Amino acid sequence: MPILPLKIQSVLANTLFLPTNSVYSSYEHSLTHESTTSTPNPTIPLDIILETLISISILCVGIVLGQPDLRPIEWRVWACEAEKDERREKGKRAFEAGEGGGAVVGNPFRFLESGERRGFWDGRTKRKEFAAWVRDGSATDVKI
Amino acid sequence: MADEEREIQINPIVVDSVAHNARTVSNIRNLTASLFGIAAGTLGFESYIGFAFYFIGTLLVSALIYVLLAEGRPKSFFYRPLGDLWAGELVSGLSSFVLTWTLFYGLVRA
Repeated sequence: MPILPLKIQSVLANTLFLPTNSVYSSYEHSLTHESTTSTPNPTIPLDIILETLISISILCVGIVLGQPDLRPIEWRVWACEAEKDERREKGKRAFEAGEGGGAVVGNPFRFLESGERRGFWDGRTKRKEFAAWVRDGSATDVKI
Repeated sequence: MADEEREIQINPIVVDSVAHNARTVSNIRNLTASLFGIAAGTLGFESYIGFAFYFIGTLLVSALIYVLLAEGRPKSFFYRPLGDLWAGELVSGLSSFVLTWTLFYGLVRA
């Protein structure tokens, strides 16, 4: 949903005027009708009702649109989006917006792919290196 | 229960995403509940009509979340769509609704 949050904020700020107006209208109406009628619940004119309901519904839509996007809870969908998200520039990523510390954001298996696994001793590579060292060493020994 | 556990093992869910979505729904509920309270107080609703107004409004907001945020696929954003999306945070929103309802009723009618 590519709607700018700033736009929504300005729409919300403008729409906040409407319920204020309708509340004040309702207050004035209750004041003016208090002296003439003694009924406890004077009927409110239709325009105040409509203004209240329309402004409340606009504000609700604005509030819902102003929230950050929901995140997929299925691991496969989420991991795909998280990995795509990592390739974007910092500041444009969807998963870091409004996030406090401590949350797992991004590929959870990144530590396996970066080549810096902790506590892992790569025996095969070490053996190859050793074999190469032995070959080179023996070659230099022969030369000497 | 065994089926459910097996389903979770086959299709694991991300706890962080579940928490994020629950927080989003909770934010929306808190904000809109206060708004509904303002509307109910302004319109002068009393007793059951006010509570019915809250529940209808909350239902409409859930429909908005369903269409605008969940894009019609609540299963991929909520583990239990009925409890987390449609009935999520219903009671905690009710208290802030009653608060603003009585406040604005008193302001307008007093």
